[in-house]
Amino acid sequence: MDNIRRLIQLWGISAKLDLLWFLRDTKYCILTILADIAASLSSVTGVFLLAERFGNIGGMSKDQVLFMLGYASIVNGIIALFFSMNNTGWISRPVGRGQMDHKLIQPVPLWMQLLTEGFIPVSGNSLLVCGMAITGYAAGQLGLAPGLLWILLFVMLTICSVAIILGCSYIAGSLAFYAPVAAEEISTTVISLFNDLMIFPIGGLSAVLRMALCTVVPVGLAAWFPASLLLGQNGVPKPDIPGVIILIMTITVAMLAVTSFRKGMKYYAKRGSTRYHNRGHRS
Amino acid sequence: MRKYLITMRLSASRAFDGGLLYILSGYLLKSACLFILLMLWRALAQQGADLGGLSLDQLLTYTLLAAIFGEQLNVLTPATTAFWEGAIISRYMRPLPVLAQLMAETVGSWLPGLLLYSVPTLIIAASAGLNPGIAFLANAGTGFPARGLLFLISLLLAMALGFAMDFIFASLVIYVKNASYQAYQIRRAIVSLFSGALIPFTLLPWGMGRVFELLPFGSTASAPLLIFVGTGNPARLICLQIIWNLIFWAAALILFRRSEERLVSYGG
Repeated sequence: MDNIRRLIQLWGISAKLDLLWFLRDTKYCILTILADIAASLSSVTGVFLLAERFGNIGGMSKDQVLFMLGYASIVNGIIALFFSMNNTGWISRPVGRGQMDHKLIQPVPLWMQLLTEGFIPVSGNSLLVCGMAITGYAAGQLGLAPGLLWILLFVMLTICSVAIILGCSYIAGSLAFYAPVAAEEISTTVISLFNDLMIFPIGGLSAVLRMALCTVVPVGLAAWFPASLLLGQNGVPKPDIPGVIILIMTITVAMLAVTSFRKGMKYYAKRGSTRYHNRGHRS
Repeated sequence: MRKYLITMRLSASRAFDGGLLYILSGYLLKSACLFILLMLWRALAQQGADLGGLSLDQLLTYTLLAAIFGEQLNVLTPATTAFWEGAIISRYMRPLPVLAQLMAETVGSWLPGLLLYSVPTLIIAASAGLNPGIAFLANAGTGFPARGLLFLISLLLAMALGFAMDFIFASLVIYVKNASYQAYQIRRAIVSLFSGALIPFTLLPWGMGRVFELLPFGSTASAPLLIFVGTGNPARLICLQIIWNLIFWAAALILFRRSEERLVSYGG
């Protein structure tokens, strides 16, 4: 119970800091929000226009593709909202830059810091709001009448998708403990991989490729697979992969992430960071 | 000229400062995106979709070339990063014009990508049956030397326009307190939709492609690619590229000169 109270307090502090940025530098903050909206909308617009032009891509109609793109935006929006500040989602950056020391001297457990210090509810909500609007519009066009169970499934699948993306970022990001310069941006590469590929409806690809994209490189689990499950009653062919795979992959990725990160932290505790010169500059 | 060549060489070798993993992870990402996009086009063609006048081979060649020449068709100079990091000052201390240095650095930074990504991708694609050279010869027939020359001219004009656009962005960044992240995001938005590098204009609905083709961003990627695959009108596309180059270079030079007076760069 104490942990939950502390978590809420820390989220509150992060929210206050974000609000202060907005109030003190409103023009710059709004510019950031608008730039984020433009970038996120443009990335999904391309696929939507393809769906509009062809009517059907990968077994999905135009509105179903739009629903999937809305889902993808919600997933990315949650990451932007909760894990953007201080690069908590892009963990290879603080690790590679030797900034874990900053966290280790705080009187708060590391997991709690990583869960709370990335929260930016004012400047980072635009993508989530856009995603919810797109999903809501698409659901309306599709005539979906979501019940409580469907909404719970939506929430659960969203959490799984977020966990898979962040888990992959942490697994790859743990490399930065051992190769701080070479792997400093590896989490960026992993998250970009998801951002670039999760927007494609991959239902038209071969079964082997679909399976690979849901297991080996699980970009399919970030939007296409959960959207197909949610639209299962709406004419979208059910994926020939069992639905439970998303749960299995979430647990697997989370366990691998925790293990590799803990192992990396042990190495860091012994060796520290070699990035800084005596005069304070980072190499 | 020697000074620029040395700048290019330094820039090319600097790309490896972060180690091989640093540079290869980006190429891996690009390869994965290219593979998925090629598979997606193939699946669309298999379901009998109308590819807007492009054959499947042309569409695949277009996408492959867009990936191979990705850095040249979306020019990103180190200007905005240098403002952000406070490193621009060193460019003003060297005996070379600042913009020319930035261009030389950018061209140098392309070399590792061309060697470690473009060439291997081309070889792998050719061995998998997607050979842009053969597709080009089959399309151009006996007129291939002329078409090849037109493609090269168009590619050079696309790169020149890309530099001008980047310098305009850099000038705007100076006006908005070194907001390089925001400039990067806006550029990303423009490139992913309006340049035609990701999705060929002929695949867009409502005739949007015809409008996008006339916009300056279309001249940075779509124009040379269309000339290569043989579906664009080379004279019209190159004329457009020349016009946009004249306008954008004039704007870039004026804006950059004016912005220099406001330039504040700090960091480390």
